[in-house]
Amino acid sequence: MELEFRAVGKVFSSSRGPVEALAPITLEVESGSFTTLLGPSGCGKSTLLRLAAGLEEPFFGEVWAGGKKVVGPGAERGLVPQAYSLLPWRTVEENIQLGWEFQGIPLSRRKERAKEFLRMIGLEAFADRYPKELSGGMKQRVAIARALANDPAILLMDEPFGALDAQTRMTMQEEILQIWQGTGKTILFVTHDIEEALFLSDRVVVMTPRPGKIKSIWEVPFPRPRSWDLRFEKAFVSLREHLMEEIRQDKEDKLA
Amino acid sequence: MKPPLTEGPVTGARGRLRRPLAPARYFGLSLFSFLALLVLWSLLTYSGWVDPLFLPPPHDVLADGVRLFTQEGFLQDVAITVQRVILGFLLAAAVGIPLGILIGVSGVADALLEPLISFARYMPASAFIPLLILWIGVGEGEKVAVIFLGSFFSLVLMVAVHVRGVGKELLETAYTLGASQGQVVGKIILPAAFPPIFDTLRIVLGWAWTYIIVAELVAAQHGIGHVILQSQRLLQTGSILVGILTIGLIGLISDLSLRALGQRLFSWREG
Repeated sequence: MELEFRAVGKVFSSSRGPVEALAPITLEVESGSFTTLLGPSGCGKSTLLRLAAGLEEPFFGEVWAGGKKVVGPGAERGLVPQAYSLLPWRTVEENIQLGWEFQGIPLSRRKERAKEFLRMIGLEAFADRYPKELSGGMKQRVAIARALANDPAILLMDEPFGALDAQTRMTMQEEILQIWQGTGKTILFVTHDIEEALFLSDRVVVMTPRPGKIKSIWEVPFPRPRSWDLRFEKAFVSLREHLMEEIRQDKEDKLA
Repeated sequence: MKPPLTEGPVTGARGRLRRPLAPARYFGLSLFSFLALLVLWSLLTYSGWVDPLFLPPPHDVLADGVRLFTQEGFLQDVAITVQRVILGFLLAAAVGIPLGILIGVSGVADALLEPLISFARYMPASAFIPLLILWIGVGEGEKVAVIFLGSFFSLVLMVAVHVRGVGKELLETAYTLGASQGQVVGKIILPAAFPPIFDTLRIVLGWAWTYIIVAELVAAQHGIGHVILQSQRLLQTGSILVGILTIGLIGLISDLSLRALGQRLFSWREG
């Protein structure tokens, strides 16, 4: 098992006392799989991801990655944040090299290897541009390349396409599938977009809020490689409706 | 080429706030405000409304300026003052920036130093001048110490604020890429906080000028402040104005050059 949440819970303290953000969650993520955490805002999906990244400490329970207990962030668990978080004073190429710099890889080797990743994301022509000169989609490509360049076993993606327009979003979804199939990484992906979750994943984990917990886990049976027109297939549409029902029902339960 | 203009009614209002002006227009308007001040000054003086003892006309002040620079070695006074300012400013920056960074990244340093520095910051540097004279005399050390006291404490606090203002998400990304704490400081926090710290230094340099003149008014044998005080004793209003205008001019030039340098250094900045 590449990634395991063992009865992991999170309690935040607030001015009105402790708030249970995440009820104890147990979840196993298989090596090389694409798993998506799906749910409305406040369901704790991002918190769960941040726990895996080691950016949050569990209130109880443990997170294990690659057979080791997670006690903090580490290079073997790469993160693609929602807001890109590129360093604005560095060019595209220098941003991609960031992780290698931390490892002390010499500049000549970094420059050589950066080319490979620039090609992968199709931004060779933008190697010397600064982030402010890039579109949202390009920025997110750089953030993905930066995370992948470090060769992490697990890639954690926190609503990475949330800020992109619909068309760029679809392109990026196809690209990330290609990249994933080429590298065999374990991906844990967070989104509130049902279609995105279904299109990308082997497994969709539906979460519900107050407190955040897993409601159900869905295996997504569609064969790979997948292309954009999968969305129009009957099986896809029907599964999407089931998932929508699952999430909507939850809303009605809460309102009742 | 612009498309041909259409005649007829138009609609819609354009938001004008914070819209940058064309450089030529900016320069023209800036020049205008200086000229307007000169015109006002001329009006007040050449019309005889104001006694020349209180405010001499522009050409008298110009003549005083020529005399000061050519016959009375004013350039040397300017050089001495500039030297003091730069020395005090560099000293404050050299100690203040590292300390501010330390306070910004370390909770312990914050607790130990920030309240103390906030306390010290409210004690006016000019009030320390008598004490400093008592401790280290009226030499160069005292002048530099006044500038240091006047700018150091606020500088430290502002640097700490800039360091804390570096986006948490940048630090988190660095950690997930395997950065050590030292690498986070060196490769993320420092470069990210550098532009606002640079802007702060520009502002602090202005304070350094205020403090040096105060120090030179109190006790000095050379320097612009000393010349201003001497001119007051001799009722040479024009020379006082020359001193003040010289400071203003040096400040303007240094500020514009620093601003240009900042724009060149930080061309990657958004917006």
